[in-house]
Amino acid sequence: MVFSSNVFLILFLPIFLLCYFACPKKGRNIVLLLFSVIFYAYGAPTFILLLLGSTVINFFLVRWLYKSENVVHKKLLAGLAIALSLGLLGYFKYANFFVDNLNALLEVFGLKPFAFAKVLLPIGISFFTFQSITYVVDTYRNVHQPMERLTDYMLYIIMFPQLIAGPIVRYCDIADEIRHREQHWSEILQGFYRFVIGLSKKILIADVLGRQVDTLLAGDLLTMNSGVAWITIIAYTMQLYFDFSGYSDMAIGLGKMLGFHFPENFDNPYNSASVSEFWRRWHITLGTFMRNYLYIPLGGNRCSKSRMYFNLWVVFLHSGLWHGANWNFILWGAYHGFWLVLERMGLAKVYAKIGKIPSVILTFLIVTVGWAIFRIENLPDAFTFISRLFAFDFHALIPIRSIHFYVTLCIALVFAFWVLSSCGKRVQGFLFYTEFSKKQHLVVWVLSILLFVFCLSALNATGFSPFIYFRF
Amino acid sequence: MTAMKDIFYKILFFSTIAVMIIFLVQTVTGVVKLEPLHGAVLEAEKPKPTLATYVDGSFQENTEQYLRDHFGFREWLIRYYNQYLWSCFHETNNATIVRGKDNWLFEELYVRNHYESLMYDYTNDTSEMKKIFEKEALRLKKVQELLKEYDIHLFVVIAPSKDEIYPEYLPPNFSYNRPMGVRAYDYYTKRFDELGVDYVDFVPVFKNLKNTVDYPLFPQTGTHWTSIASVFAFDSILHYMAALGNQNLVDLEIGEKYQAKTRDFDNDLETILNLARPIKTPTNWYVDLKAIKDSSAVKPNLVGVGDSYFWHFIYYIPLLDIFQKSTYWYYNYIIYGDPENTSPLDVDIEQELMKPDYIMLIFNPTTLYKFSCYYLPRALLHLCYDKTVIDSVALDFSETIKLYKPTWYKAALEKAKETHQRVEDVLYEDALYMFRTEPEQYFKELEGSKMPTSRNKDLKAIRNKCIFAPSNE
Repeated sequence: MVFSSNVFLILFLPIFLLCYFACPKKGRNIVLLLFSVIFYAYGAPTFILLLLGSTVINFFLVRWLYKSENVVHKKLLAGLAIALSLGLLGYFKYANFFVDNLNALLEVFGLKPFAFAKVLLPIGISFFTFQSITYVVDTYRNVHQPMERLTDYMLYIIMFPQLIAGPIVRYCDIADEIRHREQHWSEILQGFYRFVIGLSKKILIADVLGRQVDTLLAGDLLTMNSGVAWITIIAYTMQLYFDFSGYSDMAIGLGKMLGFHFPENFDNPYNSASVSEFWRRWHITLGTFMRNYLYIPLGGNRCSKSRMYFNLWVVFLHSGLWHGANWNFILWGAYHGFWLVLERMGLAKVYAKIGKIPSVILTFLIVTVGWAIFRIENLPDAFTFISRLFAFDFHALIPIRSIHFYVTLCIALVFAFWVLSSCGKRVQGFLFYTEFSKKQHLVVWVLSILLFVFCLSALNATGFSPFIYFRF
Repeated sequence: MTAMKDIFYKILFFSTIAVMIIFLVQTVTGVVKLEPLHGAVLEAEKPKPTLATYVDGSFQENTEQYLRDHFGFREWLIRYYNQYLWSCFHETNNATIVRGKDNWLFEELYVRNHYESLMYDYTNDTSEMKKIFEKEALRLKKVQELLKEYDIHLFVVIAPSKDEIYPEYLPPNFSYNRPMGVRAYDYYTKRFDELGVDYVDFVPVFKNLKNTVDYPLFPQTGTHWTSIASVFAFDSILHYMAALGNQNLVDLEIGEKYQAKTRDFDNDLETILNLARPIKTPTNWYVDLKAIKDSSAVKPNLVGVGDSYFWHFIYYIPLLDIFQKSTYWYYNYIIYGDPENTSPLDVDIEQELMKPDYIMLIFNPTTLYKFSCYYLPRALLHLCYDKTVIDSVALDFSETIKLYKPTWYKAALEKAKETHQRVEDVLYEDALYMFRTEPEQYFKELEGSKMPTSRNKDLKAIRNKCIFAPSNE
């Protein structure tokens, strides 16, 4: 079940909210857990037992770890718990990729390939695996004590707002709120506003751009006009941002409605003046996870320069692989790693010399070209597309006729870059970080309801394309 | 004070849930009656929850689709979203309809046909396009000649298309970045003249009429000719038929023209746009007509095969006063009339070929590329060969499949198992399918431009039974 679906918006969400708020505070975690199980079981019925089973095992392993006073014993248990989580992720997410590549290699040497039944990917596994790792590590490092109740731990792992697309909530950030949280009605409403903002980003911007991007990339890439190629990749750059950040907004908003404060996941990433800064603003919770649980354990930057470059590459190759089991994701990770190393080697000084705006433009171009590798899974096609970007071939007319698409793209660009201006900063501050007065609440509530209905309208009207008569 | 403040927030929050619930209640009960959305769509059926459909995810997928089709206040939501796209972006929310200049509407396919051959859907090779057209033109000529032997007159009507007559209203900057290719209209009109095919081409007629008549030939918000233009066109067709069959047919008495609000077919594109507010259009012209009673006039049987232009004749022309019987084979996909709502595959084709005195193949420049629509190859086959000959070739075909086409045979075996049929029957059906789509491949005599010498010997007797007796009504 995704948030931008009818089943969620008019069936699941209102029924859940009614049950949740009708229930006394003590029982609300159970209601939330129950609905989270329903949420996951509806979307991925074959994997719910796997999710629940791995959660139960992890809970008891960590409890054992916490009670143990023997350091070696602790290390072993932590290793076992992490290996269990990563093992599941490895099997379900990467087994197909590994076997396909192995078979390709065997074929080169004229050997018989392995017979292997394709493994289906459990939805959200990348997110809940990382969350369970933070639980193990935070307990092991004594950052926070583990949950006393199994249901509380299960809630941390499978809470539906952030279960399938993040943000990756570290255990130490949310543990206390699972046990006890204060809820203010004003904040609950602000959660709803945030949810609607996310829904609008997804339905009114990302989906509109995405439809056109899909159509364009399905065409002949070899003959694609450079202008069209740039429009396509910029549209995809915006689609991805508004889709992903929209989903994060919905998750954060829903969390707020329930009294949780999930960490922010995006901070105007396209306003970054370097690739390093981009990664501090894009998918922040993944970046934080990678820094705390991979980069720092590898030695971080408190080591030789060559070791630091190596660490960066390892982190970004893993980041790439985390996004998907395909060579294009690995290459995309390596591409970003390359720029990060280059910045450490001196590119950052060039940015400083040329100033903020040119640096932002340059970084945006670097990131945008990277998205081509991310989006086009077939690597030769991706390279063809990138070559069209730089072919400077503007021979034919642009075949995109939709004004709606261009207007949406312009709106997306404005919103993506608006905090570069002081006016944009003020509007963002007001919308996201201001305690509204009653009057402001009323106005924003009315706007949110209108926007919500408008999103429902767009969701249901898109694709409704009747014929005069049926065609044959 | 805090409690009062909380009440304010609580009211807002529970109103939020109420808004969601209202949609849910309307979805479930449909208590508020709204004008249904217009147009032909395939609506999802209510999914039945079973363990199998739940586990494989199809139940969830179908539920979402079903909710989309039955969403509470859907009619209202869709109309206003469509209006938003129309008013703010000058766009339609219907992939098949394009907004042209001055709010003129066009079907996308027609706009495309204006700029490139629709044969690009099949091939990029222009010589291949020509080859396909040539085969169809030759088939048409042969079928026309063969039917004449039974006094049956098959003729083609090329109705005008909106883009041909009113190109000035086409949307600007439409380009497909490809050469034009071979357009069906250009190729066929040339070849029909060369082959001496009986046909009426309304495109040049309408182009000439456009600046001389005081009524529009195409409506601003419809896709077909206006009802008034279709009436005058039919009157011409009737005279053409009379000349072709050398018969005295019933005449039409066309009354005075009058102006009225655009309606029915003249507004079909706007109707399926499902906008919240109507498009401003000028009033349209209409005319009343009736058939002139004439006891000496012959009332023949008519079969119309073709695109939706024929609907105008059904709707505006008193066909039953002019013809003994008229049936309409919509793209040779479904029969309207007699037998009603039947697939052409379910009728005895020999009977159906011999029943009419006139067969009108009606298409317009956009749909002309598929004018054969499997009607002509099937007719050609049955005009030349009787059932016993076809059966014996089908038997050979089955043997060939068994011996030399293992993949095909395997598929036939699987189909037989699935449908509880004998594999022989499945192969027989396959053979008939191949014969009625590409008979030339299996009956070599039908290839090329020469008239085949074989004749279906059963047809004469069938025709004699069906032959029209003049009505004395």
